[in-house]
Amino acid sequence: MEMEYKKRKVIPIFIIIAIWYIGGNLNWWSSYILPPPGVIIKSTYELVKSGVLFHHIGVSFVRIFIGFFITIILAIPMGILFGINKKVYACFKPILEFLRHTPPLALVPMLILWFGIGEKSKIIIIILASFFPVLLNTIDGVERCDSKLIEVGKVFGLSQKEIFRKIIIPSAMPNIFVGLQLALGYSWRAIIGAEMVAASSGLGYLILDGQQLSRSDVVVVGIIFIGLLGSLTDYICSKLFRKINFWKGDFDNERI
Amino acid sequence: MRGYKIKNLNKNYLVSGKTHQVLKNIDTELNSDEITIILGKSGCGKTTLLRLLAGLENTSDGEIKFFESDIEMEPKVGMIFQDSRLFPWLTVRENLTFYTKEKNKSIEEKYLKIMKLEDFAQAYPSQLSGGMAQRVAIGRALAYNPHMLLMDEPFASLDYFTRYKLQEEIIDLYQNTNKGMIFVTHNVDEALLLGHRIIILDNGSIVKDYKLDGRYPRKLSSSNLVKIKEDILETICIV
Repeated sequence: MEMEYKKRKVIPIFIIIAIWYIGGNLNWWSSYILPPPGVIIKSTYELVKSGVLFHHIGVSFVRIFIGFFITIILAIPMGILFGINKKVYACFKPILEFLRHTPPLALVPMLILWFGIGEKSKIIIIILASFFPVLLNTIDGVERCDSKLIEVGKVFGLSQKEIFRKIIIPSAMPNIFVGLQLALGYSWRAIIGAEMVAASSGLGYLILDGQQLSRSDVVVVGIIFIGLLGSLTDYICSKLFRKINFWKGDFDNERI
Repeated sequence: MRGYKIKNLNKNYLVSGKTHQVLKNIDTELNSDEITIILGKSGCGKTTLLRLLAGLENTSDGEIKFFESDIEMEPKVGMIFQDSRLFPWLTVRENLTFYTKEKNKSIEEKYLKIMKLEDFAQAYPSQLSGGMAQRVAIGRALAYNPHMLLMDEPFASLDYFTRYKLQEEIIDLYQNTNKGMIFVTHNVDEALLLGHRIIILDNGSIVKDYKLDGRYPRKLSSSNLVKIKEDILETICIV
């Protein structure tokens, strides 16, 4: 059954590649508009062999890692604070709403003006892109903590601090992880945009450079790797979070 | 005196600007070495009374005091709710002692054994049936080593057979631990099977108070219990 399901997932991918291969070789479209798979494989091999591809991937990864790490440090404590203290949240809500609706890429000109074209502005774009999913999901997780469970803590003589540590935080964890997973996807999208605007390295830069040199094969390689790496990090995260939040799983619907 | 002393207890709620009196002038003593049943229809104030005893709500008027060997003190209560209220992210074992600062394996083992949960120590609440989860909740309350157990219709959502089995286990637990209980229910048979004392609550007031022979097991068909049952039904239905 599972094998059948896996097979079904592969079929559309196979069809797309087949059409791409046949169309490219039969010249249904110009190879400049969309190079055939063979050219892409060759370009990938060259980019891997020369180390260029991994250099750009590495640069993008480091930027995402730093930005994401700063987001975790800022957004989770802030989310917890806002979740337990509605008055403080009410004070900051208008500013947060304003920022939430401002696409990070719209801030690029100002960020370049303030922080230059170096690493800072790119990392700030990642922070801006990944901050709100983590913040809002953390707030939601803390607010949704079942008041019945808090009551249990009170009956068993837990202090406010212990209730927070032993009940509120663990119950908010699944929401926090959902926020982190969303944030990671947003970070990938934002970094590529930021690197296409002002950078001399990174996957976004690789794509832009390919465009400027009329190397559409390099552009396609860049796009494929962005998609692959985004999917891969998302997959790893979802596996990891599932492992941490195993108690939320359905345990194959097993009941004792 | 060992147990609760309740004096002139009143509890009001403000609903849409209107005051509703849920408990009216309750005056009684509840011993911490016997099983006291609080019986009544839905909305008669029995859960509110239990929540007041547990310290989950404040009184509007009057006082609730707890005594241990005639010394007034803050009671340690083990509360069991209608739903098990287990922490879903903790295993059965961890749920039993979630309130301790450090893990205490010996307490965990002791109550896993008492509640016959040894085989499910590593299971999560989502893997347990309703009856099993409620047994964990009882074990958790006992492991807390409380002065008294407060039970708020703990078997209300369970099927007849599981309920019957757990009622037997409650009697065994009482006989082995001598831990007093205040047991809220709307089930007359359950009250007759378990209680040393049955307090009938109606419209926020105590309307009747029965003392029962403390011996177990009891047969609902015994003439004495049949007579009390008839009287209870008559009281609840008339008032």
